[in-house]
Amino acid sequence: MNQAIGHVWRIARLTFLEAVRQRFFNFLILLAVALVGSSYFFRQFNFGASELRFIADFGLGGIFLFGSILSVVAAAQLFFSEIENRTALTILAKPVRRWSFIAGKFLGVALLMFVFIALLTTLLGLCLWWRERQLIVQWGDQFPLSEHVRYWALAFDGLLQWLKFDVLVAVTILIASFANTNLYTVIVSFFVQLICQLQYIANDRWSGIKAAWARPLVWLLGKVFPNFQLFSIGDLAIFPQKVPIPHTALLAAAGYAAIYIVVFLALAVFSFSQREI
Amino acid sequence: MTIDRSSWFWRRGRAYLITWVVLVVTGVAATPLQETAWNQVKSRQPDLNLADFKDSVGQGMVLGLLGGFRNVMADAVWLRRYYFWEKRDLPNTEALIDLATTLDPRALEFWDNGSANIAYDIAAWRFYDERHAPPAVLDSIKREQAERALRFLDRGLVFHPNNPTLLRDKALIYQFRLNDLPTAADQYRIAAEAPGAPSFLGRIYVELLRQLGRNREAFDYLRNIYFHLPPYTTADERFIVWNRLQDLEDTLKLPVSERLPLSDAPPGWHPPPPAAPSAPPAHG
Repeated sequence: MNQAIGHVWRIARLTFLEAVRQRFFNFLILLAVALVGSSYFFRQFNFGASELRFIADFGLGGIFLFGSILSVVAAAQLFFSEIENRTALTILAKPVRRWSFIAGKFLGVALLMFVFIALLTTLLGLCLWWRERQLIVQWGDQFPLSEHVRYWALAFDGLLQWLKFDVLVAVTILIASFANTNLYTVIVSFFVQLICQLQYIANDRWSGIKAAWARPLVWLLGKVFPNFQLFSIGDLAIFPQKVPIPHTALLAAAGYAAIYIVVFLALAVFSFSQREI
Repeated sequence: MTIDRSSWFWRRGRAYLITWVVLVVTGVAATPLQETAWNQVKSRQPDLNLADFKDSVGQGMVLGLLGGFRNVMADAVWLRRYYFWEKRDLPNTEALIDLATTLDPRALEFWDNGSANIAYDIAAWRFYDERHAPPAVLDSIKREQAERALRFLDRGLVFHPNNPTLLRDKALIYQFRLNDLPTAADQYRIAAEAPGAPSFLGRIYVELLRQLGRNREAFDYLRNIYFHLPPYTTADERFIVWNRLQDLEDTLKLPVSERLPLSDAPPGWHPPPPAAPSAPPAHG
Protein backbone atom coordinates (compact mmCIF):
# COMPACT_ATOMS: atom_id res chain seq x y z
CA MET A 1 0.00 0.00 0.00
CA ASN A 2 2.85 2.35 0.93
CA GLN A 3 4.40 1.58 -2.43
CA ALA A 4 1.14 2.51 -4.23
CA ILE A 5 0.91 5.75 -2.27
CA GLY A 6 4.51 6.46 -3.21
CA HIS A 7 3.62 5.94 -6.87
CA VAL A 8 0.64 8.26 -6.58
CA TRP A 9 2.73 10.96 -4.93
CA ARG A 10 5.52 10.71 -7.50
CA ILE A 11 3.08 10.94 -10.43
CA ALA A 12 1.31 13.86 -8.72
CA ARG A 13 4.59 15.70 -8.14
CA LEU A 14 5.72 15.25 -11.72
CA THR A 15 2.29 16.28 -13.04
CA PHE A 16 2.38 19.42 -10.91
CA LEU A 17 5.92 20.33 -11.96
CA GLU A 18 5.11 19.73 -15.61
CA ALA A 19 2.05 21.96 -15.30
CA VAL A 20 3.90 24.77 -13.57
CA ARG A 21 6.57 24.75 -16.29
CA GLN A 22 3.95 25.19 -19.01
CA ARG A 23 3.69 28.63 -20.57
CA PHE A 24 -0.11 28.22 -20.66
CA PHE A 25 -0.33 28.08 -16.86
CA ASN A 26 1.95 31.07 -16.40
CA PHE A 27 0.09 33.13 -18.98
CA LEU A 28 -3.30 32.25 -17.49
CA ILE A 29 -2.21 33.02 -13.97
CA LEU A 30 -0.83 36.38 -15.13
CA LEU A 31 -4.15 37.22 -16.78
CA ALA A 32 -6.11 36.13 -13.72
CA VAL A 33 -3.88 38.15 -11.37
CA ALA A 34 -4.29 41.20 -13.62
CA LEU A 35 -8.07 40.81 -13.68
CA VAL A 36 -8.49 40.26 -9.94
CA GLY A 37 -6.05 43.08 -9.17
CA SER A 38 -7.87 45.44 -11.52
CA SER A 39 -11.15 44.89 -9.65
CA TYR A 40 -9.99 47.71 -7.37
CA PHE A 41 -9.96 50.16 -10.30
CA PHE A 42 -13.22 48.93 -11.79
CA ARG A 43 -15.15 49.97 -8.71
CA GLN A 44 -16.15 53.26 -10.36
CA PHE A 45 -18.18 51.13 -12.72
CA ASN A 46 -20.47 50.14 -9.90
CA PHE A 47 -24.02 51.47 -9.77
CA GLY A 48 -25.67 49.58 -7.05
CA ALA A 49 -24.00 46.98 -4.88
CA SER A 50 -21.62 48.50 -2.38
CA GLU A 51 -18.01 48.92 -3.41
CA LEU A 52 -16.55 46.04 -1.44
CA ARG A 53 -19.23 43.66 -2.69
CA PHE A 54 -18.48 44.77 -6.23
CA ILE A 55 -14.75 44.13 -5.80
CA ALA A 56 -15.50 40.71 -4.28
CA ASP A 57 -17.93 39.76 -7.06
CA PHE A 58 -15.56 40.90 -9.78
CA GLY A 59 -12.62 39.03 -8.26
CA LEU A 60 -14.65 35.85 -7.75
CA GLY A 61 -15.85 36.15 -11.36
CA GLY A 62 -12.22 36.19 -12.48
CA ILE A 63 -11.40 33.16 -10.34
CA PHE A 64 -14.41 31.32 -11.78
CA LEU A 65 -13.56 32.15 -15.40
CA PHE A 66 -9.85 31.39 -15.35
CA GLY A 67 -10.21 28.53 -12.86
CA SER A 68 -12.65 26.75 -15.17
CA ILE A 69 -10.32 27.12 -18.15
CA LEU A 70 -7.28 26.02 -16.21
CA SER A 71 -8.84 22.98 -14.57
CA VAL A 72 -10.23 21.58 -17.84
CA VAL A 73 -7.28 22.37 -20.11
CA ALA A 74 -4.59 21.40 -17.61
CA ALA A 75 -6.26 18.09 -16.70
CA ALA A 76 -6.81 17.12 -20.34
CA GLN A 77 -3.38 18.23 -21.52
CA LEU A 78 -1.45 16.58 -18.70
CA PHE A 79 -3.35 13.32 -19.16
CA PHE A 80 -2.97 13.17 -22.92
CA SER A 81 0.68 14.24 -22.92
CA GLU A 82 1.45 10.92 -21.19
CA ILE A 83 -0.57 8.98 -23.77
CA GLU A 84 0.74 10.85 -26.83
CA ASN A 85 4.38 10.80 -25.70
CA ARG A 86 4.01 7.10 -24.87
CA THR A 87 5.31 7.76 -21.35
CA ALA A 88 2.12 6.21 -20.01
CA LEU A 89 3.22 2.90 -21.53
CA THR A 90 6.56 3.09 -19.72
CA ILE A 91 4.92 4.05 -16.42
CA LEU A 92 2.25 1.37 -16.59
CA ALA A 93 4.76 -1.29 -17.68
CA LYS A 94 6.26 -0.91 -14.20
CA PRO A 95 4.38 -2.16 -11.17
CA VAL A 96 2.18 0.93 -11.20
CA ARG A 97 -1.54 0.26 -11.05
CA ARG A 98 -3.88 2.18 -13.29
CA TRP A 99 -5.69 3.64 -10.29
CA SER A 100 -2.38 5.03 -9.06
CA PHE A 101 -1.89 6.71 -12.42
CA ILE A 102 -5.39 8.29 -12.33
CA ALA A 103 -5.06 9.31 -8.67
CA GLY A 104 -1.60 10.77 -9.31
CA LYS A 105 -2.79 12.80 -12.27
CA PHE A 106 -5.76 14.07 -10.27
CA LEU A 107 -3.65 15.03 -7.27
CA GLY A 108 -1.13 16.82 -9.47
CA VAL A 109 -3.80 18.97 -11.14
CA ALA A 110 -5.61 19.46 -7.80
CA LEU A 111 -2.34 20.77 -6.35
CA LEU A 112 -2.00 23.12 -9.31
CA MET A 113 -5.54 24.38 -8.73
CA PHE A 114 -4.78 24.84 -5.04
CA VAL A 115 -1.83 27.10 -5.86
CA PHE A 116 -3.95 29.01 -8.37
CA ILE A 117 -6.87 29.52 -5.97
CA ALA A 118 -4.63 30.34 -3.00
CA LEU A 119 -2.78 32.98 -5.01
CA LEU A 120 -5.91 34.65 -6.37
CA THR A 121 -7.88 34.46 -3.12
CA THR A 122 -4.98 36.06 -1.26
CA LEU A 123 -4.78 38.80 -3.89
CA LEU A 124 -8.52 39.39 -3.69
CA GLY A 125 -8.31 39.47 0.10
CA LEU A 126 -5.55 42.09 -0.10
CA CYS A 127 -7.59 44.24 -2.52
CA LEU A 128 -10.60 44.04 -0.20
CA TRP A 129 -8.54 44.72 2.91
CA TRP A 130 -6.82 47.74 1.34
CA ARG A 131 -10.09 49.32 0.23
CA GLU A 132 -11.86 48.42 3.48
CA ARG A 133 -9.18 50.25 5.47
CA GLN A 134 -9.59 53.33 3.27
CA LEU A 135 -13.38 53.28 3.66
CA ILE A 136 -13.15 52.87 7.43
CA VAL A 137 -10.79 55.87 7.65
CA GLN A 138 -13.11 57.86 5.37
CA TRP A 139 -16.41 56.96 7.08
CA GLY A 140 -15.33 56.13 10.61
CA ASP A 141 -18.18 54.81 12.75
CA GLN A 142 -20.65 55.45 9.90
CA PHE A 143 -19.18 52.55 7.91
CA PRO A 144 -21.91 49.91 8.20
CA LEU A 145 -21.11 46.64 9.93
CA SER A 146 -22.92 44.76 7.17
CA GLU A 147 -20.18 45.84 4.73
CA HIS A 148 -17.27 44.47 6.74
CA VAL A 149 -15.49 41.64 4.94
CA ARG A 150 -15.24 38.32 6.77
CA TYR A 151 -11.80 37.14 5.73
CA TRP A 152 -12.17 33.66 7.22
CA ALA A 153 -15.25 33.21 5.01
CA LEU A 154 -13.26 34.38 1.98
CA ALA A 155 -10.64 31.73 2.78
CA PHE A 156 -13.36 29.09 3.18
CA ASP A 157 -14.92 30.23 -0.09
CA GLY A 158 -11.54 29.72 -1.75
CA LEU A 159 -11.54 26.18 -0.36
CA LEU A 160 -15.05 25.55 -1.72
CA GLN A 161 -14.10 26.92 -5.14
CA TRP A 162 -11.04 24.66 -5.09
CA LEU A 163 -13.27 21.66 -4.35
CA LYS A 164 -15.60 22.68 -7.18
CA PHE A 165 -12.69 22.86 -9.62
CA ASP A 166 -11.49 19.50 -8.32
CA VAL A 167 -14.86 18.02 -9.28
CA LEU A 168 -14.35 19.51 -12.74
CA VAL A 169 -10.83 18.06 -12.89
CA ALA A 170 -12.22 14.63 -11.94
CA VAL A 171 -14.89 14.94 -14.66
CA THR A 172 -12.22 15.87 -17.21
CA ILE A 173 -10.08 12.88 -16.20
CA LEU A 174 -13.14 10.63 -16.49
CA ILE A 175 -13.76 11.87 -20.03
CA ALA A 176 -10.07 11.63 -20.90
CA SER A 177 -10.04 8.02 -19.67
CA PHE A 178 -12.10 6.92 -22.66
CA ALA A 179 -11.67 9.77 -25.16
CA ASN A 180 -9.23 9.52 -28.05
CA THR A 181 -8.18 13.13 -28.38
CA ASN A 182 -7.31 16.06 -26.18
CA LEU A 183 -9.62 18.40 -28.10
CA TYR A 184 -12.63 16.09 -27.63
CA THR A 185 -11.93 15.92 -23.90
CA VAL A 186 -11.66 19.69 -23.55
CA ILE A 187 -14.86 20.39 -25.52
CA VAL A 188 -16.94 17.73 -23.77
CA SER A 189 -15.63 18.81 -20.35
CA PHE A 190 -16.64 22.41 -21.01
CA PHE A 191 -20.09 21.21 -22.02
CA VAL A 192 -20.35 19.18 -18.82
CA GLN A 193 -19.33 22.25 -16.84
CA LEU A 194 -22.00 24.26 -18.63
CA ILE A 195 -24.60 21.66 -17.71
CA CYS A 196 -23.40 21.59 -14.10
CA GLN A 197 -23.70 25.40 -13.93
CA LEU A 198 -27.27 25.20 -15.24
CA GLN A 199 -28.27 21.98 -13.51
CA TYR A 200 -30.30 23.97 -10.99
CA ILE A 201 -32.80 24.82 -13.71
CA ALA A 202 -33.53 21.12 -14.22
CA ASN A 203 -33.71 20.62 -10.47
CA ASP A 204 -36.14 23.49 -9.97
CA ARG A 205 -38.23 22.82 -13.03
CA TRP A 206 -38.83 19.09 -13.16
CA SER A 207 -41.79 19.06 -10.76
CA GLY A 208 -43.58 21.70 -12.86
CA ILE A 209 -43.15 19.91 -16.19
CA LYS A 210 -46.43 18.55 -17.52
CA ALA A 211 -45.22 16.28 -20.37
CA ALA A 212 -45.02 12.77 -18.90
CA TRP A 213 -42.08 11.75 -21.09
CA ALA A 214 -40.01 14.82 -20.21
CA ARG A 215 -40.30 14.62 -16.43
CA PRO A 216 -38.10 11.53 -15.87
CA LEU A 217 -35.61 12.89 -18.40
CA VAL A 218 -35.27 16.19 -16.56
CA TRP A 219 -35.14 14.40 -13.20
CA LEU A 220 -32.33 12.21 -14.54
CA LEU A 221 -30.46 15.29 -15.75
CA GLY A 222 -30.78 16.82 -12.29
CA LYS A 223 -29.37 13.70 -10.64
CA VAL A 224 -26.56 12.74 -13.02
CA PHE A 225 -24.78 16.11 -13.03
CA PRO A 226 -23.62 17.86 -9.86
CA ASN A 227 -25.03 21.31 -9.08
CA PHE A 228 -22.15 23.81 -9.34
CA GLN A 229 -24.32 26.76 -8.32
CA LEU A 230 -24.55 25.59 -4.74
CA PHE A 231 -20.87 26.42 -4.25
CA SER A 232 -21.81 30.11 -4.40
CA ILE A 233 -22.86 29.64 -0.78
CA GLY A 234 -19.23 30.45 -0.01
CA ASP A 235 -19.50 33.76 -1.92
CA LEU A 236 -22.57 34.69 0.13
CA ALA A 237 -20.79 34.10 3.43
CA ILE A 238 -18.08 36.70 2.69
CA PHE A 239 -20.33 39.54 3.92
CA PRO A 240 -22.46 39.37 7.07
CA GLN A 241 -26.01 38.20 6.38
CA LYS A 242 -29.14 39.15 8.32
CA VAL A 243 -29.56 35.46 9.10
CA PRO A 244 -26.09 33.90 9.34
CA ILE A 245 -25.36 30.98 7.02
CA PRO A 246 -25.25 27.81 9.12
CA HIS A 247 -21.87 26.10 9.11
CA THR A 248 -23.63 22.83 8.30
CA ALA A 249 -24.58 24.25 4.89
CA LEU A 250 -20.96 25.16 4.15
CA LEU A 251 -19.80 21.71 5.25
CA ALA A 252 -22.59 20.10 3.21
CA ALA A 253 -21.26 21.82 0.08
CA ALA A 254 -17.75 20.57 0.85
CA GLY A 255 -19.07 17.03 1.48
CA TYR A 256 -21.07 17.16 -1.73
CA ALA A 257 -17.91 18.00 -3.71
CA ALA A 258 -15.92 15.28 -1.96
CA ILE A 259 -18.52 12.63 -2.85
CA TYR A 260 -18.49 13.60 -6.52
CA ILE A 261 -14.69 13.70 -6.68
CA VAL A 262 -14.49 10.14 -5.32
CA VAL A 263 -17.25 8.87 -7.63
CA PHE A 264 -15.88 10.50 -10.80
CA LEU A 265 -12.38 9.22 -10.04
CA ALA A 266 -13.69 5.70 -9.36
CA LEU A 267 -15.50 5.78 -12.71
CA ALA A 268 -12.34 7.08 -14.40
CA VAL A 269 -10.34 4.19 -12.93
CA PHE A 270 -13.01 1.73 -14.10
CA SER A 271 -13.03 3.23 -17.60
CA PHE A 272 -9.23 3.52 -17.84
CA SER A 273 -8.77 -0.09 -16.73
CA GLN A 274 -10.63 -1.20 -19.83
CA ARG A 275 -8.69 1.03 -22.17
CA GLU A 276 -6.03 -0.33 -24.49
CA ILE A 277 -3.10 2.04 -24.55
CA MET B 1 -29.44 -15.68 -29.69
CA THR B 2 -26.22 -15.34 -27.72
CA ILE B 3 -24.49 -12.08 -26.84
CA ASP B 4 -20.87 -11.78 -27.86
CA ARG B 5 -19.32 -10.53 -24.64
CA SER B 6 -16.09 -9.59 -26.32
CA SER B 7 -17.83 -7.30 -28.82
CA TRP B 8 -17.21 -3.56 -28.75
CA PHE B 9 -20.93 -2.98 -28.30
CA TRP B 10 -21.15 -5.16 -25.19
CA ARG B 11 -18.04 -3.71 -23.56
CA ARG B 12 -18.87 -0.09 -24.28
CA GLY B 13 -22.57 -0.55 -23.55
CA ARG B 14 -21.82 -2.13 -20.19
CA ALA B 15 -19.36 0.65 -19.30
CA TYR B 16 -21.86 3.37 -20.21
CA LEU B 17 -24.65 1.67 -18.30
CA ILE B 18 -22.54 1.26 -15.18
CA THR B 19 -21.42 4.91 -15.41
CA TRP B 20 -24.97 6.22 -15.69
CA VAL B 21 -26.32 3.99 -12.93
CA VAL B 22 -23.49 5.00 -10.57
CA LEU B 23 -24.07 8.69 -11.32
CA VAL B 24 -27.83 8.45 -10.73
CA VAL B 25 -27.30 6.58 -7.45
CA THR B 26 -24.72 9.19 -6.40
CA GLY B 27 -27.11 11.99 -7.34
CA VAL B 28 -29.87 10.45 -5.23
CA ALA B 29 -27.54 9.73 -2.31
CA ALA B 30 -26.08 13.25 -2.38
CA THR B 31 -29.52 14.91 -2.53
CA PRO B 32 -29.72 15.66 1.24
CA LEU B 33 -26.32 17.40 1.13
CA GLN B 34 -27.28 19.26 -2.02
CA GLU B 35 -30.59 20.40 -0.52
CA THR B 36 -28.91 21.65 2.67
CA ALA B 37 -26.59 23.98 0.77
CA TRP B 38 -28.87 24.80 -2.17
CA ASN B 39 -31.80 25.88 0.01
CA GLN B 40 -29.50 28.40 1.70
CA VAL B 41 -28.26 29.72 -1.65
CA LYS B 42 -31.77 30.03 -3.07
CA SER B 43 -33.22 31.74 -0.03
CA ARG B 44 -30.44 34.36 -0.06
CA GLN B 45 -30.26 34.84 -3.82
CA PRO B 46 -33.89 35.19 -4.92
CA ASP B 47 -32.63 35.94 -8.44
CA LEU B 48 -31.85 32.23 -8.72
CA ASN B 49 -35.45 31.41 -7.84
CA LEU B 50 -36.93 30.84 -11.26
CA ALA B 51 -40.53 31.14 -10.11
CA ASP B 52 -40.02 34.90 -9.84
CA PHE B 53 -39.47 35.32 -13.55
CA LYS B 54 -41.92 35.14 -16.39
CA ASP B 55 -39.54 33.85 -19.01
CA SER B 56 -37.46 32.13 -16.43
CA VAL B 57 -35.52 29.46 -18.27
CA GLY B 58 -33.78 31.92 -20.61
CA GLN B 59 -32.97 34.31 -17.79
CA GLY B 60 -31.88 31.44 -15.58
CA MET B 61 -29.34 30.46 -18.22
CA VAL B 62 -27.92 33.96 -18.34
CA LEU B 63 -27.69 34.05 -14.55
CA GLY B 64 -26.15 30.62 -14.29
CA LEU B 65 -23.51 31.19 -16.90
CA LEU B 66 -22.20 34.58 -15.91
CA GLY B 67 -21.28 33.60 -12.37
CA GLY B 68 -19.46 36.43 -10.59
CA PHE B 69 -19.50 38.68 -13.64
CA ARG B 70 -23.25 39.19 -13.39
CA ASN B 71 -22.95 42.54 -11.66
CA VAL B 72 -20.39 43.79 -14.19
CA MET B 73 -22.64 42.77 -17.06
CA ALA B 74 -25.60 44.39 -15.31
CA ASP B 75 -23.68 47.66 -15.05
CA ALA B 76 -22.75 47.49 -18.74
CA VAL B 77 -26.40 46.85 -19.64
CA TRP B 78 -27.46 49.76 -17.45
CA LEU B 79 -25.03 52.10 -19.23
CA ARG B 80 -26.30 50.87 -22.59
CA ARG B 81 -29.83 51.68 -21.45
CA TYR B 82 -28.87 55.39 -21.35
CA TYR B 83 -28.10 55.25 -25.07
CA PHE B 84 -31.63 54.03 -25.87
CA TRP B 85 -33.15 56.35 -23.28
CA GLU B 86 -31.58 59.35 -25.01
CA LYS B 87 -32.99 58.13 -28.31
CA ARG B 88 -36.43 57.65 -26.69
CA ASP B 89 -36.38 54.03 -27.83
CA LEU B 90 -39.16 52.56 -25.72
CA PRO B 91 -38.83 48.78 -26.29
CA ASN B 92 -35.06 48.72 -25.88
CA THR B 93 -35.07 50.95 -22.81
CA GLU B 94 -37.62 48.75 -21.07
CA ALA B 95 -35.92 45.53 -22.18
CA LEU B 96 -32.55 46.68 -20.83
CA ILE B 97 -34.08 47.83 -17.55
CA ASP B 98 -35.53 44.34 -17.18
CA LEU B 99 -32.25 42.68 -18.10
CA ALA B 100 -30.17 44.83 -15.73
CA THR B 101 -32.48 44.12 -12.79
CA THR B 102 -32.48 40.41 -13.61
CA LEU B 103 -28.70 40.26 -13.77
CA ASP B 104 -28.13 42.21 -10.58
CA PRO B 105 -31.27 42.67 -8.50
CA ARG B 106 -29.19 43.89 -5.55
CA ALA B 107 -28.59 47.27 -7.21
CA LEU B 108 -31.23 49.55 -5.71
CA GLU B 109 -30.57 52.26 -8.27
CA PHE B 110 -31.76 50.01 -11.09
CA TRP B 111 -35.16 49.60 -9.43
CA ASP B 112 -35.46 53.22 -8.28
CA ASN B 113 -34.40 54.78 -11.57
CA GLY B 114 -35.98 52.08 -13.73
CA SER B 115 -39.42 52.58 -12.17
CA ALA B 116 -39.15 56.33 -12.80
CA ASN B 117 -38.24 55.66 -16.43
CA ILE B 118 -41.26 53.40 -16.86
CA ALA B 119 -43.79 55.57 -15.04
CA TYR B 120 -42.72 59.05 -16.17
CA ASP B 121 -40.26 59.06 -19.11
CA ILE B 122 -41.78 56.33 -21.23
CA ALA B 123 -45.26 57.69 -20.51
CA ALA B 124 -44.09 61.11 -21.75
CA TRP B 125 -42.67 59.60 -24.97
CA ARG B 126 -45.93 57.82 -25.58
CA PHE B 127 -47.89 61.05 -24.93
CA TYR B 128 -45.81 62.75 -27.59
CA ASP B 129 -46.47 59.98 -30.10
CA GLU B 130 -50.22 60.17 -29.36
CA ARG B 131 -50.39 63.95 -28.90
CA HIS B 132 -53.42 64.28 -31.19
CA ALA B 133 -55.33 61.51 -29.46
CA PRO B 134 -58.34 62.29 -27.20
CA PRO B 135 -57.62 62.84 -23.46
CA ALA B 136 -59.11 59.46 -22.60
CA VAL B 137 -56.35 57.73 -24.59
CA LEU B 138 -53.68 59.79 -22.84
CA ASP B 139 -55.20 58.91 -19.49
CA SER B 140 -55.13 55.23 -20.32
CA ILE B 141 -51.44 55.50 -21.34
CA LYS B 142 -50.62 57.21 -18.05
CA ARG B 143 -52.47 54.53 -16.11
CA GLU B 144 -50.91 51.68 -18.07
CA GLN B 145 -47.36 52.95 -17.54
CA ALA B 146 -48.03 53.61 -13.86
CA GLU B 147 -49.31 50.08 -13.38
CA ARG B 148 -46.28 48.64 -15.17
CA ALA B 149 -44.00 50.65 -12.89
CA LEU B 150 -45.89 49.45 -9.82
CA ARG B 151 -45.50 45.82 -10.90
CA PHE B 152 -41.81 46.49 -11.54
CA LEU B 153 -41.41 47.97 -8.04
CA ASP B 154 -43.22 45.00 -6.51
CA ARG B 155 -40.60 42.77 -8.13
CA GLY B 156 -37.89 45.00 -6.70
CA LEU B 157 -39.43 44.74 -3.24
CA VAL B 158 -38.97 40.96 -3.39
CA PHE B 159 -35.21 41.59 -3.46
CA HIS B 160 -35.26 44.65 -1.18
CA PRO B 161 -38.06 43.94 1.28
CA ASN B 162 -39.37 46.97 3.14
CA ASN B 163 -37.00 49.32 1.36
CA PRO B 164 -38.17 52.92 2.02
CA THR B 165 -36.90 54.22 -1.36
CA LEU B 166 -38.93 51.71 -3.38
CA LEU B 167 -41.97 52.14 -1.12
CA ARG B 168 -41.72 55.92 -1.58
CA ASP B 169 -41.51 55.43 -5.37
CA LYS B 170 -44.77 53.48 -5.22
CA ALA B 171 -46.39 56.23 -3.17
CA LEU B 172 -45.25 58.89 -5.66
CA ILE B 173 -46.76 56.95 -8.55
CA TYR B 174 -50.08 56.59 -6.73
CA GLN B 175 -50.03 60.28 -5.89
CA PHE B 176 -48.93 61.86 -9.16
CA ARG B 177 -49.67 59.33 -11.89
CA LEU B 178 -52.81 57.62 -10.65
CA ASN B 179 -54.17 60.53 -8.57
CA ASP B 180 -55.18 57.96 -5.98
CA LEU B 181 -54.56 59.94 -2.80
CA PRO B 182 -55.92 57.44 -0.22
CA THR B 183 -53.66 54.66 -1.55
CA ALA B 184 -50.74 57.09 -1.90
CA ALA B 185 -51.23 58.09 1.75
CA ASP B 186 -51.19 54.45 2.84
CA GLN B 187 -48.02 53.86 0.82
CA TYR B 188 -46.30 56.87 2.40
CA ARG B 189 -47.21 55.54 5.84
CA ILE B 190 -45.76 52.11 4.98
CA ALA B 191 -42.62 53.79 3.60
CA ALA B 192 -42.31 56.04 6.66
CA GLU B 193 -42.53 53.06 8.99
CA ALA B 194 -39.92 51.00 7.10
CA PRO B 195 -36.57 50.63 8.86
CA GLY B 196 -34.17 53.47 8.01
CA ALA B 197 -36.87 55.65 6.44
CA PRO B 198 -36.26 59.41 6.44
CA SER B 199 -38.64 61.35 8.70
CA PHE B 200 -39.97 63.54 5.86
CA LEU B 201 -41.96 60.54 4.52
CA GLY B 202 -44.10 60.63 7.63
CA ARG B 203 -44.67 64.37 7.17
CA ILE B 204 -45.79 63.81 3.57
CA TYR B 205 -48.23 61.20 4.87
CA VAL B 206 -49.62 63.76 7.29
CA GLU B 207 -49.93 66.34 4.50
CA LEU B 208 -51.93 63.89 2.37
CA LEU B 209 -54.18 63.11 5.33
CA ARG B 210 -54.83 66.86 5.63
CA GLN B 211 -55.68 67.03 1.95
CA LEU B 212 -58.06 64.11 2.42
CA GLY B 213 -59.73 65.92 5.33
CA ARG B 214 -58.54 63.33 7.89
CA ASN B 215 -57.19 66.05 10.18
CA ARG B 216 -57.55 64.21 13.47
CA GLU B 217 -55.57 61.25 12.12
CA ALA B 218 -52.99 63.69 10.74
CA PHE B 219 -52.64 65.42 14.12
CA ASP B 220 -52.20 62.17 16.06
CA TYR B 221 -49.61 60.88 13.59
CA LEU B 222 -47.66 64.17 13.48
CA ARG B 223 -47.66 64.39 17.26
CA ASN B 224 -46.13 60.92 17.37
CA ILE B 225 -43.52 61.97 14.80
CA TYR B 226 -42.69 65.09 16.78
CA PHE B 227 -41.96 63.17 19.96
CA HIS B 228 -39.84 60.62 18.09
CA LEU B 229 -37.74 62.92 15.90
CA PRO B 230 -34.21 61.55 15.61
CA PRO B 231 -31.58 63.41 17.69
CA TYR B 232 -29.80 64.76 14.57
CA THR B 233 -32.95 66.66 13.44
CA THR B 234 -32.13 70.34 12.91
CA ALA B 235 -33.87 73.09 14.88
CA ASP B 236 -35.53 74.40 11.70
CA GLU B 237 -37.07 70.98 11.00
CA ARG B 238 -38.38 70.80 14.56
CA PHE B 239 -39.94 74.26 14.15
CA ILE B 240 -41.69 73.14 10.92
CA VAL B 241 -43.23 70.11 12.63
CA TRP B 242 -44.24 72.13 15.67
CA ASN B 243 -45.84 74.87 13.52
CA ARG B 244 -47.80 72.27 11.54
CA LEU B 245 -49.01 70.74 14.77
CA GLN B 246 -50.26 74.13 15.88
CA ASP B 247 -51.98 74.66 12.51
CA LEU B 248 -53.72 71.32 12.93
CA GLU B 249 -54.78 72.20 16.49
CA ASP B 250 -56.37 75.38 15.08
CA THR B 251 -58.00 73.54 12.20
CA LEU B 252 -59.43 70.93 14.57
CA LYS B 253 -60.40 73.70 17.02
CA LEU B 254 -59.01 71.61 19.84
CA PRO B 255 -59.74 72.78 23.39
CA VAL B 256 -56.75 74.00 25.37
CA SER B 257 -56.74 70.81 27.42
CA GLU B 258 -56.04 68.72 24.29
CA ARG B 259 -53.44 71.06 22.80
CA LEU B 260 -49.76 70.46 23.26
CA PRO B 261 -48.36 72.62 26.10
CA LEU B 262 -45.88 75.28 25.07
CA SER B 263 -43.35 73.59 27.32
CA ASP B 264 -43.14 70.87 24.63
CA ALA B 265 -42.14 73.43 21.99
CA PRO B 266 -38.64 72.97 20.55
CA PRO B 267 -35.94 75.03 22.26
CA GLY B 268 -35.48 78.41 20.60
CA TRP B 269 -38.98 78.50 19.15
CA HIS B 270 -40.94 81.75 19.43
CA PRO B 271 -44.59 82.12 18.58
CA PRO B 272 -45.06 83.96 15.29
CA PRO B 273 -46.05 87.64 15.77
CA PRO B 274 -49.76 88.33 15.32
CA ALA B 275 -50.61 89.31 11.77
CA ALA B 276 -50.73 93.10 11.29
CA PRO B 277 -54.17 94.47 10.39
CA SER B 278 -54.42 95.04 6.66
CA ALA B 279 -54.08 98.67 5.56
CA PRO B 280 -57.31 100.42 4.59
CA PRO B 281 -57.80 100.76 0.84
CA ALA B 282 -56.44 103.97 -0.49
CA HIS B 283 -58.99 106.44 -1.78
CA GLY B 284 -58.46 109.18 -4.23
